[in-house]
Amino acid sequence: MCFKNLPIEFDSGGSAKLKEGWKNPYSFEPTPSKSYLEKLAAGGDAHAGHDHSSGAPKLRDWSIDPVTRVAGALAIHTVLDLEKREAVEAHSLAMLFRGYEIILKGRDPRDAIDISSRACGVCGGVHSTCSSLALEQAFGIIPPPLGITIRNLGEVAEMFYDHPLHLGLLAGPDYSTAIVSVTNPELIPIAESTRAPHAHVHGFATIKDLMDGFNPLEGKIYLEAIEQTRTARIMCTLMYGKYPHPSTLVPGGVSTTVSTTTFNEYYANLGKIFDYAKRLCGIWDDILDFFLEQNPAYALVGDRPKNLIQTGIWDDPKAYDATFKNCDAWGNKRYSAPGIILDGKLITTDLTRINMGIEEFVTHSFYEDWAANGTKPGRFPNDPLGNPLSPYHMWNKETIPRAEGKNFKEKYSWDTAPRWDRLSMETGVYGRMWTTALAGNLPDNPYISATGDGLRMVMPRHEMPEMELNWKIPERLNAFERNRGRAYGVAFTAAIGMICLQQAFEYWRSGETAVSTKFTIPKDERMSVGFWEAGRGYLTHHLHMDKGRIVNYQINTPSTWNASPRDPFDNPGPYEEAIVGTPILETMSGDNIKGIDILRTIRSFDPCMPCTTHMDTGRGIITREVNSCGCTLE
Amino acid sequence: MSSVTLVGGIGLPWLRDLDFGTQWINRQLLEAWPAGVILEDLSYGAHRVLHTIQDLQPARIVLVCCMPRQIDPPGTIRRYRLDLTPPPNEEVVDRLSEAVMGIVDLDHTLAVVRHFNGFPVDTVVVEVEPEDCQFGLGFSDTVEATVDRVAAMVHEEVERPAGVCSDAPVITPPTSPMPLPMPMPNMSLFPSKPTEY
Repeated sequence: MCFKNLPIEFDSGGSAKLKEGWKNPYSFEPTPSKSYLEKLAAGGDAHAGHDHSSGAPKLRDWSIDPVTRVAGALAIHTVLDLEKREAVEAHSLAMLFRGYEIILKGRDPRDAIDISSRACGVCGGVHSTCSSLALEQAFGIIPPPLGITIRNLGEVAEMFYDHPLHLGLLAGPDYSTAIVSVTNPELIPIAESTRAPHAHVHGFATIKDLMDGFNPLEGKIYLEAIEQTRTARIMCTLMYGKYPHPSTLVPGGVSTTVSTTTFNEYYANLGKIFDYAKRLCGIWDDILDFFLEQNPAYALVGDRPKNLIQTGIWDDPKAYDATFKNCDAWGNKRYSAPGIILDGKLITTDLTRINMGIEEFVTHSFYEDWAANGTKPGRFPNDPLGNPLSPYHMWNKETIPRAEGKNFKEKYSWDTAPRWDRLSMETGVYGRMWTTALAGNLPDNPYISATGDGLRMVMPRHEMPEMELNWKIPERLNAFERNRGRAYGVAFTAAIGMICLQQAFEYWRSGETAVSTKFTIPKDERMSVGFWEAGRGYLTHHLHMDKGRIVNYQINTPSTWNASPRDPFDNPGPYEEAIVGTPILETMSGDNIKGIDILRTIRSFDPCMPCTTHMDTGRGIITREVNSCGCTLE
Repeated sequence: MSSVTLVGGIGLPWLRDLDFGTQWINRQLLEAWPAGVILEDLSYGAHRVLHTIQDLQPARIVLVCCMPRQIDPPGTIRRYRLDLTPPPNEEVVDRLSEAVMGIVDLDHTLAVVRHFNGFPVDTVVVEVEPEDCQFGLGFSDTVEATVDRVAAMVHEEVERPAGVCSDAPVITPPTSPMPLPMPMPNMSLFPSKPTEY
């Protein structure tokens, strides 16, 4: 059984249909939101494992607005139990609205490639690509193999910008001497006397040396991450023309002019990534294992259920035909598998099942409910294959901003609450490694293979010798394993880059040099979807077009999932879920909390709020102009 | 160090006057400039500007931008030689963290590039106080009227003999608030003081 909460069942042939006898199968009665104290007062299990029989809990708010070292404006509100030294309540607030969906209405669909790219200053390429996929599905065209491969290579390169800068500049400083000496000074002398197990790989003799490396502005790891972004941009530009907003992505492929030199230059830079990945995995293994050895309770920091959603990325040029009809087939051939992970187990890798299980709620978001608690049918009750769709599905979604009812019981975020089978799902680079490891669909190749409990990756020789790296599916999904997964994600991506690069050379050598397919814009009604992934995971662009114009365009990003507020059933989003239960392990002076454990939790997701939300000009008030990459519509 | 002079514009597209840097550069690309002058749209992340400067190694840099300081009337042109003393590390970290995630901002660029000693001694900033910062194309009349005067100033700067620094006052630029925007007015959901339950 794929769905437990949605009214969908499958016949003996595997076709999905709505369960019979339901008048409004997707309708619901919202569950009133209750605070921790209200749950305690009601005698409920506010948070499992708590015993307040000795008296009233010692609670206080701890909030941070904005959270620094994340992209965009994210605020976090928590309630901490100081007696238990634990977070017991959390709210994640996306503080800006922009509205690309509104901007795109009525436009020429080709505009979506360039405009949606501006949703993010890091992930411009992934949005352009996702948009290209949605358009070529709507237009009924298939890119030539080399066009698909070049797109893959561009996306490989884009990940090399995203992951290192997060690990080095955004999450890394939380493990630096500068921070740890303030939050947990007792660890510093131990770190000084602890040898780094992978010193022979990364060159840092002790854990303290590693912590020094994470120091902002001066640490070697921090500075190398900045330099790494230069390599990534060079690689992106070779495939995309420019970065972060590509100039060469089109429906049906790319318009990049390539030559043997293009691929050779890409290869030379990919070699640098091989070596960087070898060092990075050792660095993060050593620093994270040190913390966990010093205090096993660090495994509870940011811990949440192992529920993940991924849409898959990097197409097999021989399998991808752009159609929705065959999306399960080509999706399952992706080098990074789509999938749903529930409680650590792979439930499905079929894009149709992933797609039909998604709803996007706005009960606690600053938007109007367009579907009246699910009683109002959507424009599209079924996908193009006849599978049922919720009125809250993106193809049926209407973006109607309304900043009213601003409190935690009503509305508190510009982010929406996407759910799959009405469950709160996380997404990330570790998620795509998880699905890929369990799906076992990788093609035969010398660089990467699924081992049953993880991934085995072979980083070829560059300046450093060839090295085998093994990522194990973690027992817990917590802040540390997210960062570890992201470090191994660089190796994962590099291995796929090598597969794609060899394909590109082969297509080039055999004369299959076409990179795009001609198209015309259809004038009849079409619906389509681009399934792709950003650095942080899941990405979809749902398109409805008619008379050659966009009727509705809905972008759903990884941070939309991760940063989501509560849903109509009062279930928290992943950030919120991960914070609740996080222990306060910092050394406290009185009640003075620095919040490092909460911040490690949040930053481990690699939050990206520009993607998540969209800026508001509702009353003509702009508190400060911000812009991404010099070409946005903000 | 090369003999190149880099004239860079920093703008925020489709935001009227705030797009001044980019659009001013685009207009100047159609004009004649002395040999050795490179006109470049630098409307990207501060670390990327740093990399560009490290690659070019210019002997002189002139940055052009509309910057809402709200200390002068709209249309005021502020020309200053940049004090190369970097801001405090904490501020640089915050600005760099925003820059790598895609935020484009003159003050981010000034802070980050100064921290990494990227600017040559001869670095001049020409800022215009904007009037209209709403969505749209083109400049307000007030800012449009500054285009030629800014061009004349930049010509003065780039045509100075090599080794002779600008006679513009050396100042530390006023800086925009950090970190990123607070919520819109009346949007804060947080109590001003922590709540003790």
